[in-house]
Amino acid sequence: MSTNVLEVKSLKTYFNKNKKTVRAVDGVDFSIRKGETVALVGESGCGKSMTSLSIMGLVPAPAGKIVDGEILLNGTDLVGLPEKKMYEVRGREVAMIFQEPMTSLNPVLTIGDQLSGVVMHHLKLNKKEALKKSTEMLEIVGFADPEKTLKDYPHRLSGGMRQRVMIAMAMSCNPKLLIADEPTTALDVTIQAQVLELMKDLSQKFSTSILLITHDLGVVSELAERVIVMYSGQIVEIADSNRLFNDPLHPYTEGLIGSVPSIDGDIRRLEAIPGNVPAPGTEMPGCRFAPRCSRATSKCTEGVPEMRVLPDGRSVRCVLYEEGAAQ
Amino acid sequence: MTLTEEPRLTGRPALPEEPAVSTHEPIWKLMLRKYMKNKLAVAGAVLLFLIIGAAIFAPWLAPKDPSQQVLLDKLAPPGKDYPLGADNLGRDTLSRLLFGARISLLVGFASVAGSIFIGTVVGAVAGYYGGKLDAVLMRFVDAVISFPSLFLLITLVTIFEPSIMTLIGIFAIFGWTGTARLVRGEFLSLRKSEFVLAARTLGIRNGRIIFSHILPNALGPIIVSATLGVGGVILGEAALSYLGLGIQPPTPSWGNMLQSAQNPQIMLGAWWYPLFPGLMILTTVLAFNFVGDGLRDAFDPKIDD
Repeated sequence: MSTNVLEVKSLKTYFNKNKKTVRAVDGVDFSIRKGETVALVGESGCGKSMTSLSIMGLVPAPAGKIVDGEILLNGTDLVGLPEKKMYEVRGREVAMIFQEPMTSLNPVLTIGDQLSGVVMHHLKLNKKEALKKSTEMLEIVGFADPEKTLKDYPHRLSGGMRQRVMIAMAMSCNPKLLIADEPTTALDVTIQAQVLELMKDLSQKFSTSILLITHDLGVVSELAERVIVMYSGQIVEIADSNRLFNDPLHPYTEGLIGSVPSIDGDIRRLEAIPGNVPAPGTEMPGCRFAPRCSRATSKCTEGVPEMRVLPDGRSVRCVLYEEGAAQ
Repeated sequence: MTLTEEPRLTGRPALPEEPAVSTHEPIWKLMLRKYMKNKLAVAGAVLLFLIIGAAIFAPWLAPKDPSQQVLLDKLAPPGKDYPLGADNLGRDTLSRLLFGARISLLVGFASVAGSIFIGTVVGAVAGYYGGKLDAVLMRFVDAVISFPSLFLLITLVTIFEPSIMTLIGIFAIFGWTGTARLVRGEFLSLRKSEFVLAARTLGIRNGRIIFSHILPNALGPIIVSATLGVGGVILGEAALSYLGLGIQPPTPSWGNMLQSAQNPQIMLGAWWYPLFPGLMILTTVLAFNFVGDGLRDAFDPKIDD
């Protein structure tokens, strides 16, 4: 297991609001290998973003707190690591890019200031070396005239260009893990493809692992090798990308895939999953998806099904696949 | 690889999307151009430039010694000998105005520098960290605001000898609360912004985020507040001096020039005596306000020209 860059073990991140506990992340286990791209998918509010913020150690305090679990980055547990040590991890070991490239760059600092600031802080370079490194990074992410761009303010760049700058910043210190939180959601389709291609290239070149957080299954099939499906704070299925799309196990995964129009398939009605994601903080016995599940039985509400690893390596959390269940 | 087969890692072709504005003038030129569009701000800047220049070069510009009394010429009307008239002790008003500008501007700038510094640090820390620290600091601000400051000023001035330094200190100590609230408000909204989260995920330290990342975004309001503040302190100094508690004669300040003109007979008989110091205060405060507005627009990159 030494090739695992990241291992998350029974991570629980809870929020306390008005004496009510919201289990945003409720016992999440997964790992990411070196150079691997793993997608974390699920509907809004299923705990995807909170999982990533937990890894970064940036769960909004004081309401939110990691109450249990381990986050091992190359064997070092990040949970409970002193803030001073976390400064060295963020940006250096783990970096993150966000959904909104329009707002994730500081509007009053030049691209050069922002990019070189990160490099200076982590790689202990002086101003001149940092600018050189920044120029290199901008060139790598595809800017034709990096020197010019360094002097620009973000408002002069388009959304796709800003996202490239964000990627340059995130990759500048060669992190082991890049968390991409809906990196293409706010971009035009043509620009999406460019950005995805760029991320793919960079992850190959620097053998960076990527945790791709998205609800866009098209992006998943494009980029990810493995897929983690989350529902209401829990993982319901982990499988290789191909397998997941061709043969989804969990009824929720089936529903997700069924609700995306396919280009080559027959023209058919899109199947929406009935109902809504349970409001965060809703307590329910048994499987959390049961109320929306077309294949739910009385067994589903008896207890939370365990995560089960199938012989072929896929994992699923559903009574249909439990020991002795009729396949 | 859906778009291209071979991975091109460096020297990608130029991006198809070009920025809307591609002129690359330095930022100060852009700001200057935005500033120049505001005619009132330009007028204010010219006025301030003249006033500050006059204050600096007062010893060379003043026709007479500002303290020299010629009792025979007391309350002389404006004329050849006294361009702006003479005061009740026969001192040349123009010379006293020029030297008074030094005092009034010095007190204004120095105490605002002090209060902006205190207010920015307190407001930034309170707004960024929030929670209990914010509550404690802001209740302290409330307490300072609830002091009846004029009476406290008067008391302090009578305890400490009213010198320029004590006046600066007192104005700084009572002037920072507005800035602190303003800066806190800016920080409260800015700390939630995505670029702050992005900076945090890149491992940038809190201190650096506060002062290098958030503060420049809040600079506009701070500058406006500072320029208005200078005007306010000049008014405050005038008020204290008018009560005889500010700058002590014979050192001239615009405020204490007004003080000696309090006598209604002088006011009605020799209108030129209170008029000119009053006009100077009015003009200067107005000029600071105009300049503040112009700077705010110029500093804000979100306001495009």
